[in-house]
Amino acid sequence: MRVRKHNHFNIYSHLYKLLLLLICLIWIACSGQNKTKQILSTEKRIQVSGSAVNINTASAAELEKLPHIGEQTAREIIEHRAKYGRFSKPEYLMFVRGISDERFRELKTLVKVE
Amino acid sequence: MPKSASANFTLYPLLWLSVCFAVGLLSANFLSLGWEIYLIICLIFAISAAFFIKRNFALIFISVAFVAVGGLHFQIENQSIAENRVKKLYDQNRIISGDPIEIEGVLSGKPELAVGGFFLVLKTERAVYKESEIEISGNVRLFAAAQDERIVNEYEQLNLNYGSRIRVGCRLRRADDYLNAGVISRTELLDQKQIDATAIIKSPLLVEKIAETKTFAPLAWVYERRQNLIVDFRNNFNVSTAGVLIASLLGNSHFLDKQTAEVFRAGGTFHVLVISGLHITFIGGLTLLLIQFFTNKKLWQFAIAVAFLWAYSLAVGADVPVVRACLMFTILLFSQVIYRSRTLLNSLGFCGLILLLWRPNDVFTASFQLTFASVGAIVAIAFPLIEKLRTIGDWSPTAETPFPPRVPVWLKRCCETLYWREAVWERENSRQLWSANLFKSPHLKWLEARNLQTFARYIFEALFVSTVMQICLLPLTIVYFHRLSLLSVFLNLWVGIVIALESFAAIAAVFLANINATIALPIIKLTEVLNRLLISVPNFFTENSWANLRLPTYSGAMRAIYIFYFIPLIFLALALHRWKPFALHSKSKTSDSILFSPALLRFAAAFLLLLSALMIFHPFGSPKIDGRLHVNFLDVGQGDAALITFPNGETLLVDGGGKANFNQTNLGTKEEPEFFEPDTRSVGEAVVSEFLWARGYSQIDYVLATHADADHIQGLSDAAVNFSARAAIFGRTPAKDTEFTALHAVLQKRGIESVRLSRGDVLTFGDVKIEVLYPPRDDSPEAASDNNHSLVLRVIYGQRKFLLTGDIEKKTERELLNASEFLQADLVKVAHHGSRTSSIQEFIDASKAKVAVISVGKTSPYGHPHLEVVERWKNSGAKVLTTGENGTISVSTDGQDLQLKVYNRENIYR
Repeated sequence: MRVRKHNHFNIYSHLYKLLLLLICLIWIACSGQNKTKQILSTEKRIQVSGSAVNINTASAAELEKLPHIGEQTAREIIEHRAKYGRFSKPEYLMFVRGISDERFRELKTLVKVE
Repeated sequence: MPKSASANFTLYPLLWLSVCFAVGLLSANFLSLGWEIYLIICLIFAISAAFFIKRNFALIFISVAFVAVGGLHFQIENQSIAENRVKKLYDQNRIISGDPIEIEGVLSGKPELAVGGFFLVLKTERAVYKESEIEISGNVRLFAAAQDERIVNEYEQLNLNYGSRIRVGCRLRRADDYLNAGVISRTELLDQKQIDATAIIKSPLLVEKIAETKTFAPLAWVYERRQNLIVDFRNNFNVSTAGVLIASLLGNSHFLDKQTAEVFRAGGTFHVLVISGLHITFIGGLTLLLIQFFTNKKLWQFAIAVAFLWAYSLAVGADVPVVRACLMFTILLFSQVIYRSRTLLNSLGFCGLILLLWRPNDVFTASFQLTFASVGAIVAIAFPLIEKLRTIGDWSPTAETPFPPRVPVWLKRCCETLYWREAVWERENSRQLWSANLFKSPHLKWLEARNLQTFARYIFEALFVSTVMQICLLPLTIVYFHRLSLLSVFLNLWVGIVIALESFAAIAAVFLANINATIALPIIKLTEVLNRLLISVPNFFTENSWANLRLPTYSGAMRAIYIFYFIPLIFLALALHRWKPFALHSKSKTSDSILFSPALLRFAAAFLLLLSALMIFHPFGSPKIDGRLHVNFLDVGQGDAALITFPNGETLLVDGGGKANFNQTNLGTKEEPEFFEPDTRSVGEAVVSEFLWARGYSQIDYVLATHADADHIQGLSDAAVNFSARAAIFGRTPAKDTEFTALHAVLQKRGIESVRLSRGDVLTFGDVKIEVLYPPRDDSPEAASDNNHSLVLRVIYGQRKFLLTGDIEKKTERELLNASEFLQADLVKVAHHGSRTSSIQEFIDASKAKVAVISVGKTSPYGHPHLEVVERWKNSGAKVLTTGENGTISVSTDGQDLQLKVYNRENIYR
């Protein structure tokens, strides 16, 4: 490590330091007010319609009435229930193979867990 | 060890102690004695050492005691994993990998951005599994896919932050995917990162934010800055530049594209893209320089530089290698501040001790070994040698060194050219009463006249350090990366300089871009030009395959060669420390001067060369020719790959695995699409090539693609790049198929000939015959190469026949049944990964197979193998084996017998 010795006071060398400090501070300040998108929270409650299917008790036939759920998926839902127990949230229907995010969105108003 | 180095023991005690400690850790891995035994050994030797404290051999006792402490620490560390650690729950099968589970925990950082989504590291606390709630601990890593705008917005509304407590439903996985010899275990890699399990979050609806917990405000601030910088870099620069900058400055490698990363790997310069010792040293050095403007108090300089460095390492995620580098820098710098003497080696030992106490299992990791080997190379060899060369070059008659160094003239001239300072000598000379004339190197004047001496000195030192590191790291780079870059010494210099410039330009550009986009534009362009320079120059050199060798490794007892390599190296390093160029010739023969006699030194150097030649040219590597036919069905997940070794030693790789193109993302605008392929290791590289290297192959005689589906053909491109091959064999050559053209391009570049086969062809490899049963001849470039036009092969050796069916489906199976006598085989590779599209009853009956091999992953996205197919084969009396469950399935025959082996022994009787 090399140490520079300032034997006499030199205003210019100190100005230099201050400038450096200033630049650092500006940079930090600038990067602070970055483009973090502030999106207004538009909390959407799932509106469950009255005739919603209870996915924890429904039979295969009842499940098949839901959009995008065929024989295969209905069977998998029932298998899933037998293996892992009740669905604690309707969203967890997505654990079942064949029910993607998009498909779930189309039937989320039609299902309930209790 | 301490005995041979007893003279050094006093100078670097901590170095030797840490070596003993590491030896203890390593041996405990092989000798699993109980911790009590280690404790007893340790105590006995410690007490005996205390008893004989005045005697010389007490050193040996202390060393043994330290070895035992290492073993004790290893045992305790690995036995004291909490019962409720996620890791343990999965390893003991209390939770099954891949089952749905609800986990709750606190985010231990901001979401780590990546292309097409982001990663979350969750410090887990509770879980609900099969309706019962359990307390858990340990970190899990979750990937949230967020491709389209709507999903991204939904995640933004969730506002996941450092310290957020969230509840997530996911299928958590902790399992190894590719069970083959030589393939590194995925769980082991995750354990090194302290991640117990991973999962993909299927939808933002499965994430629920519960609360914000209290966080350490400065840390949150630092994380915020870092993420903003990542966003800034991505917004301002093109894909490749942003990828390089984000990886090398901010430690997030998810934006690196494969092509760029490959250029760095090929040149042996990839380490600059991972935040490592080099970065820490560079940044630390830079801050020190800056601070020297403000204060000249050493302790202050140290404190500020170190504080900045630690803030930086926390910001970039505080990965283990970064913390390790930071700790080493701190300790090495501290030793300079406190002692101001050359005790770097001792500090290195201290670092080792602390790091091993912190994470004893790290001693087995590539990262730890590479760090210590490279720092050791610099501190123990490069620096002392440069120092000695400097004193030789700088020599002028003084009271201590009245005589010129006793070294060969050429060496003296070289050193003088670099280190002689004429100006200093003239000043010195003018002060003396006497005057003298020294005859120094003739090139010196030329260099000094052009002010090039300093420049030449820097270049020489950088190249020298780089070379020494290369030599010391040779076995490690071969074992871990299977690479040898002949030009890496030069390329490292180039990349180091350019990336430093690029980083400065980028920071300036981002700073200006925050003020005004137009001012920043020229600097942004400059950064991108620098990036192009950074990539194109190494690319130009590494395009030739001779500059970038891929090497196999030895297995079995020959592996010891990688450790033996260090013995002559350490011996030479010790000799270097003993070398006193100014010492007068001593006639007295001490034991030392015999040990380090010139003859022995020459022998050590020759031995070192011999060992490196053995490692590079690999003469005894490939497996012995044993007169048997071997077929290894590799576990490549969803996909096919089989290595056939013929009795005469020739090899044929049938398919190379691969993955469908799920991970190419389109960045940039529609008019100017910029495809981004993330830098993930392909199956062909990480599984097939690793398997072949581990077996000691550097060439594969023939590669064969049954058809042009990605999960069969893609890996062959990697195989063709990494191994030399004589010919490539196809059924059809569909010129328009993207997968095929990718392979074809590689084959043309490497000058590998392509051969087309069709029904009726027969290949012979010694005594082995391969009959081609399908597809019919069609040479047109439009010919389909889909599942139903797979090459179907029957391998015949003596009485034994193996049938390889590619991905054929019912239609082709029926067609083949027209000549059903050709289908009879002892072993069948079940068509199409056991899908219900294939394996009709008649086909199974016609084959009369005893063994049915299904090449499929443990979990297949298509649900392969289908249960009814497995049942059908079982009912026919065949033993059904899947690669997903068993790992590599190896069969071998001498023409009469049939031997079957699987890699994963746990599942053999299923």
